[in-house]
Amino acid sequence: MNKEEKFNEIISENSDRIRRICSYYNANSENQKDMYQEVLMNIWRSLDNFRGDSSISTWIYRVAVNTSLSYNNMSIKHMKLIVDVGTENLECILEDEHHKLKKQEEIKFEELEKELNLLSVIDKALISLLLEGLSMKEIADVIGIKESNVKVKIHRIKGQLRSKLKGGSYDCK
Amino acid sequence: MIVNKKIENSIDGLVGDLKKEDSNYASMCKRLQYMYWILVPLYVLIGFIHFFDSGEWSEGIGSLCFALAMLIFAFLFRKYSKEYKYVDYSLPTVHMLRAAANRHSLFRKETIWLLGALIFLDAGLIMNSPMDASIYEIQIIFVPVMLIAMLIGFFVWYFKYKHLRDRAKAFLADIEE
Repeated sequence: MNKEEKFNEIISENSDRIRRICSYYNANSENQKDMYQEVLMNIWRSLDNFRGDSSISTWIYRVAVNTSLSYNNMSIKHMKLIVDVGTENLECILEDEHHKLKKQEEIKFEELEKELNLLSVIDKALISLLLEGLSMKEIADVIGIKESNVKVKIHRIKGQLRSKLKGGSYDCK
Repeated sequence: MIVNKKIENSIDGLVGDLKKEDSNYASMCKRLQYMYWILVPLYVLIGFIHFFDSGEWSEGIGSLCFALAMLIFAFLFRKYSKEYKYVDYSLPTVHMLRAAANRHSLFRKETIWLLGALIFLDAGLIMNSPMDASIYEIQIIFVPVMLIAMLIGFFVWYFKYKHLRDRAKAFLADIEE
């Protein structure tokens, strides 16, 4: 299989995943398209280095996250993490084994989205991977830090979000 | 169906553009590399001709110094062009950021080789000095020219690459904190 065939196969199998990641970072559909193109370009440029050491999905997430960090140099600080109300895994951010959350979904997600957008770019990247349903081990593989560090960071982000949302309509008791 | 066709067409177009970009970059690198690889044996040859013509070691060694400087430039160019061409976005984020911070640093380990090339150039000029200029006279011209070149290099780095290095470092600090 030549490079072009390999590339087309990867894109056809992962285009939804890539589009979803791009949509986390951009509210505007034009910006999403631009970032999607940028991710595709970086997949092409990095394709020769794919040795199959990690799964193709981890590899795609790495390229997407790394592109998001390199994308749009000037406005990176203002990059928005767009959270779809219907995102299946959103609850995992605030989920707590011992406390059941009250179901005020729309208000809760709106406030959560607002707080997520205030996170640092790296924290946003971690959260976007969590929203994608990746395990801590997989997130550690994408970012290149220890699994225990990922757990600590996610725990810290969750803690921050909980404490910020405590005063609002969404109260995590 | 129409949407899928549109997506296929846009990906085909992108692949076409990327292949074109790859081939343009490869041919540009080849042209510059050929220039250096031609200059190296050319200076060696000139060195031999000077030596056999004048019988003086200094002129031959001077040309060899130029050849060595070109050789260092050729290797550095090869290394940098490969590095910039194959920025690997599939590395774990921390590794990619470390590589980016290193790539956009003002001083790198390899910079020491550039210093070596400059010393060889200077030595070549001294030994092949035009109009029998003294070592000091050559330094009066060579040192300011190199300093101006370095200053231009510094400004280019400061306005074009420093912010990339700073951003990569800031992200690294954020991840590693």
